[in-house]
Amino acid sequence: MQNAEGFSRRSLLRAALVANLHPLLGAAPGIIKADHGQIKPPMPLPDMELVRHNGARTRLLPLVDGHVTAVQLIFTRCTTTCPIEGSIFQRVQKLLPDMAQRGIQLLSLSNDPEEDGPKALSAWLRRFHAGPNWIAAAPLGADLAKLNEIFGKSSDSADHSTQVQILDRHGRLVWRTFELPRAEEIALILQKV
Amino acid sequence: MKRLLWLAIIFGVTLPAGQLADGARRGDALFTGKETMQGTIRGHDNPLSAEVVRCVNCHGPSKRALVSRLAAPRIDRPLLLEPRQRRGGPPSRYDQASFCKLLRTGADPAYILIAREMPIYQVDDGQCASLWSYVIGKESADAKR
Repeated sequence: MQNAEGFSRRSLLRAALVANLHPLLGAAPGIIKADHGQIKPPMPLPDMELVRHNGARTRLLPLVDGHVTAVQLIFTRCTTTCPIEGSIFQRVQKLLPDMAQRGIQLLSLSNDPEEDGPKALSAWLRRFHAGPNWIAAAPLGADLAKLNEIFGKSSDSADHSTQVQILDRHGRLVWRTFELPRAEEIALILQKV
Repeated sequence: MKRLLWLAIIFGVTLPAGQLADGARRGDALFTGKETMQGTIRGHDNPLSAEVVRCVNCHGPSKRALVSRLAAPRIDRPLLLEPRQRRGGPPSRYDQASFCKLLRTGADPAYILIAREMPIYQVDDGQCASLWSYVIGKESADAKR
């Protein structure tokens, strides 16, 4: 059975269970303690300088301000889990054809800024048929450590997290999924934030 | 009679060898993605694109040092056939049946689930046999270094 938004009752129940059974445990201000689940209270993020796939320089907070944003860590030379992550976002995009109207966006953040310039990032987006609300970006050198600290679990680019982080319209971290989450769960959370 | 004997020798010896080589060749094609397979991450509803689930993506040689501690091992004959402790389980080794079960379910010979990053595949018996022929024909990756 599916509701008007095309999500099955089972999907809704599963998301509700994830939300209730895996709350963030004691998130101290500025430090994310838990691996996954809803983040209470929402955690403000430090700003960082990014280069977008179109070559434009921007900063993280203005980029995500006013949007609900799903963030994934990738690097384009990665042949192992990153293509799976790209496929997951591709499916999210398919599940949410009205992302623009809903103010939802997807953000692939590279933790390999030396290699992932605008050309590589654009190729990444083309590979997964990314629409206009799917952005790819890489931090400027000094901000790489900050990015890994917030979104990753290791300073080793080849050992990055495959979780998806959800930011609310104020650029605060509100949800962290399991590793390699289902696209349906990401889509559901994005609509609920 | 002599001619028949020669025919028997030729077909009796070369045909199975040829078939084996065909199996390994097909296995190579499956491993590298020239022949596509359908794979899904455990717990997901939809199969991933064939390009994403190629064995070589994770188990192939890497020109650069992109292989992390979580990366998949290089698949070769010793890895599969020698009894080894895998993922903290009791010593185990693969045969064709357990290899196929791993591909289809994600459970190793000791019934321990492998990393979720590896998709589970929809492979038929022929594909599975070909892949098995190919991977056990690979000598030790370490020996090549």
